[in-house]
Amino acid sequence: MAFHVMGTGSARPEHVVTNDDLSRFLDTDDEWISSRTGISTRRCCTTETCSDLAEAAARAALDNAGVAAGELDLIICSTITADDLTPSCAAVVQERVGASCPAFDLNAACAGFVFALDVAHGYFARGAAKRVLVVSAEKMSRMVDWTERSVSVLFGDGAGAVVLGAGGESPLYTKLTTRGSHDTLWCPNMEGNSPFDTTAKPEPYLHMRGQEVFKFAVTSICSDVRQMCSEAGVEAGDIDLFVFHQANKRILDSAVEKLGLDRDKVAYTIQESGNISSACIPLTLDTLNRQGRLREGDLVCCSGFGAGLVVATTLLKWGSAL
Amino acid sequence: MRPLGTKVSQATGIGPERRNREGDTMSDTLERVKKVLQEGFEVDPAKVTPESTLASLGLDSLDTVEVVMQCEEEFGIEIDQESNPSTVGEFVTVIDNTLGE
Repeated sequence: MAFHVMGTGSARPEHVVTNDDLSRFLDTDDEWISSRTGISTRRCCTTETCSDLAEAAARAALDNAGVAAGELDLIICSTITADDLTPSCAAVVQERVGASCPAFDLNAACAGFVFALDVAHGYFARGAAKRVLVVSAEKMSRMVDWTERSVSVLFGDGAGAVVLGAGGESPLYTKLTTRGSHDTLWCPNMEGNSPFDTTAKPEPYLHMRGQEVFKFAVTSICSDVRQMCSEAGVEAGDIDLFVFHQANKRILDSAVEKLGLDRDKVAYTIQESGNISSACIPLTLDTLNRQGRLREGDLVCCSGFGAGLVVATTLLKWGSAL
Repeated sequence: MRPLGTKVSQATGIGPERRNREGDTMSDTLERVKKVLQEGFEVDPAKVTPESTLASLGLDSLDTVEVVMQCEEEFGIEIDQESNPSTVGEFVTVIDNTLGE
């Protein structure tokens, strides 16, 4: 059985950080950041936790879907920046919204939302769920080194969520890819203080080989979209909206040009949000949904890519259950 | 990952016998890199010498990756990320070395 998107929600912290704000403590400026990333502002948590963002996005999606928390059969949270290693962010959300279903986190970095959709699809397919909440929440501001301009300027905090219902035509296509490559993009876990541990203690920040990531991202988007069109039997021109992971405007521009896509059909939210890892795609979906830009029957391609390295692409048919 | 090598040699006439005559190959590759820079990045070919860095031609670090990708397409090769070329001449050398592998 397939699913349909019943409702969307999102949440962002209140504090807006401009490029000028960053230039006060980093050797950079608005022109440098804008031209290389397309980012003007991002939101950064001050008092908010990752769970706060997840909860707010989840509540908004439940409200938008008209679904009560008690009706949920499953909660999947995609995150790489949960407040705690355990319990999961999903468990915290379950408690706070008052649900009673199973809940777990999933880590597929910036492609986490699309991986989570595929996991949810499995539950629908075997008839194990009728209502699933997928929430992607990221507090990237705690992961980056704020003394390092090449990485910190790229990221922001936020969350996006969808409530999925059994029945419908989504997904029309899904492909998940993992090309294991540790050193391209990585962030170490907690160190602990074991007296027995003799392994190296790398800096506790996100490490990135930017040029390699750029090339991987552009190549992956292009090959995934081409393969999706071929296997789903659609033309790129038939697709109403492309929601790519918002890693860098230059990555999206490059892929859009290589694929020859109509720019009006490609969502860009990076300018005011930066890279929010797995939250980018659902947050963008919610933004467009609330602007009334998603209509019944629209074909929506979502494609995420990130650390792993991972790529995940899916084709949704927007609208209600059949 | 490089099954295209033979095909490219046939398509461009840069076979093993010609690759030994470095001058010919170098100038041919240089002209094609100039073409990539002109068509993709609006760089005036008259201003491009083997000593030109991409930065001096107005390209930033992400443009450099784009140049790598477009050269890969132009020459039907995969360029090693670690080679990290920065001057046009270094690009030509990396491409010729990759073609010669």
